[in-house]
Amino acid sequence: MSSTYIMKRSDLLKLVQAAMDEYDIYGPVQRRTTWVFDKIDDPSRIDMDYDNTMMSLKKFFIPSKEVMMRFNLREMSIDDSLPDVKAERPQLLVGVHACDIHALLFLDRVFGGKYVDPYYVARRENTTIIGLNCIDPCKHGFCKSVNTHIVNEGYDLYLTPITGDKYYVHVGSPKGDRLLTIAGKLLREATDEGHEAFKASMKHKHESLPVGLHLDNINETFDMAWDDPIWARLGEECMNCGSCALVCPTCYCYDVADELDLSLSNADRTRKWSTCLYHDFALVAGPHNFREDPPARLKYRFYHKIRGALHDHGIIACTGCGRCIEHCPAGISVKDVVYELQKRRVGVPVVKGG
Amino acid sequence: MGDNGKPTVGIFGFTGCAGCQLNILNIEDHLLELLELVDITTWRMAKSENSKGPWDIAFVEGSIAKQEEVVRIKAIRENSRILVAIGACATHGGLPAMRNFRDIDEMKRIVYGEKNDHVDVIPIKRVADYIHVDYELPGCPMDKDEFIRTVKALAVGKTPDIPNYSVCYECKIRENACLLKENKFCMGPVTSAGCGAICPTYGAPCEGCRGPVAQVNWGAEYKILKEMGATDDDIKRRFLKYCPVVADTPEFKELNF
Ligand code: SF4
Ligand code: SF4
Ligand code: SF4
Repeated sequence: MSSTYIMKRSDLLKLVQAAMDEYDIYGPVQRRTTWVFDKIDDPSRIDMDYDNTMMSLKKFFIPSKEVMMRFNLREMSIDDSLPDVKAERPQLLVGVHACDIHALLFLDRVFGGKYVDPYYVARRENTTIIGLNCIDPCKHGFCKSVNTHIVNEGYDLYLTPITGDKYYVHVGSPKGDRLLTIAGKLLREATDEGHEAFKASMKHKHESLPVGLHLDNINETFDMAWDDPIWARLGEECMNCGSCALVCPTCYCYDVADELDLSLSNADRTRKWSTCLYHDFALVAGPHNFREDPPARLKYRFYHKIRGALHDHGIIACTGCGRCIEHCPAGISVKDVVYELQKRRVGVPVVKGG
Repeated sequence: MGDNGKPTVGIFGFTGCAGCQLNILNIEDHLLELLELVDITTWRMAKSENSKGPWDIAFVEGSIAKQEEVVRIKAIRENSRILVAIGACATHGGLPAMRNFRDIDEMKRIVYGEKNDHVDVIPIKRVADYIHVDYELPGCPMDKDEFIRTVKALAVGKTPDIPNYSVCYECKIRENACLLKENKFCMGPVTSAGCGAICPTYGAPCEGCRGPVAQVNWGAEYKILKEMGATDDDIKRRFLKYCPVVADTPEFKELNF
């Protein structure tokens, strides 16, 4: 049985419409100067030509604020919200770029690895993903430099735009088979002509995506750069607003707090996003703060993304999506920082760009 | 504690618009529940019979603008176990403190005429300039949910959780497109969160009413606004609008306006 199909671009909307009985559907929708993955009730709102969304997909798996359990202090009882999470309606995410699929594969290592987060895993299992192969570069991304422009797993259907206003559709999983059934006659098996069109699109992609960074010796670079003057310079520009980490598809840190109701008999245990850029993030009893100085916190974020992730997960945590570059009010660019360090520290030949 | 075992609370107004006290009245839905938790023994805006203290918790609204107020705030402090300043005027001087940028005698003449010797006015300061303040709930007006959370925390002996990260946090969580990208002079990055980024959410740049965020980097925000075409005057006005007292801080003086 084949796993590649052809679909008219406009038929995606019909597929989404047909899937609505079964899933809560989210897709890219324009909002002022950016896009958001928004709940879709009217498929025509989906903008498959979107550049990039501000918030990544992590919000669907670790919501920005979530009650994990409720407890009653008079009865000393606990009500875990996990069964509710497991009972949520299946969600279908439409139009997910390759870099964002890589981000989810990274988060799987964090939340589904040695220490399993059952809330994350439940939502992940409950989610179906229609990926979108970008064949043209986006404004701020540098996926090819960090090797996230190609995905071979992590999607259920993967759409590559080909000539004739069509998609070349690859089925990646049994969940994708379910979508095939829903799509019915909207898809037909790819023929040689379709395969050729796909190859042409991929050739175009490889030619159009720039490479501006090399990650060779990146571990050594960061080991050497601990006292580099660049951190003080960036510290002057950074306001520790946390935007970079909030929009980052792989920044996963959160805070946990218990909140009593006014009767003082019930409490919610809530987790909400936090970031290492904030003063209280590394504040512990004492009070002591591991990173009291704001520039130390910016530096820490870079080290954790690159050096720390390599150490813990064997892969850097930057997917090259470019969100932090686009949304930093101070214009700080991870790409430029890594470029500068690489060039100065190990002299890796690079071409500026991409 | 009052006779009923509940913590006693006093709510006091100084120089300001009384909007924060009004916001406490606006709690409506939860006011009765709140009264189950604490005993408001003094609140001139809402009660005709008021105790003279002591109080477990005092909430103080408004800036200190008269000699008489200096005496009164010190007395409240002496009679309170915990003292919380509420609203921009109390925490940062607020709009009233803009008066400090004009000559005080000239202002007296403009408002009260030539015979003004009896008028008690002094340079306006925030509450913490005169007494020790345990907690501050900033904002113009103070956020009522934050007020409720603070009352709950203090009633059970916890430290209230008052954000000291920037408005951008709440703005990003709400997935607002950033206004700085539209060349609007937003103060979000240098302003303390807690309001839910309500202004940018409705397309209006943050005016900084909750005051500077912890370890504020004025220089970076200055550079951003400058590059967007703001003049020094524009920037200064924004930085000082709700927090005129900031003008006296070393971080601000470094900017050399
Ligand atoms: S978005 Fe920019 S200014 Fe804000 S914390 Fe990140 S690097 Fe600093
Ligand atoms: S609009 Fe203002 S508050 Fe919102 S992200 Fe931009 S700078 Fe921050
Ligand atoms: S967005 Fe800024 S001006 Fe508006 S309420 Fe919040 S702190 Fe105040």
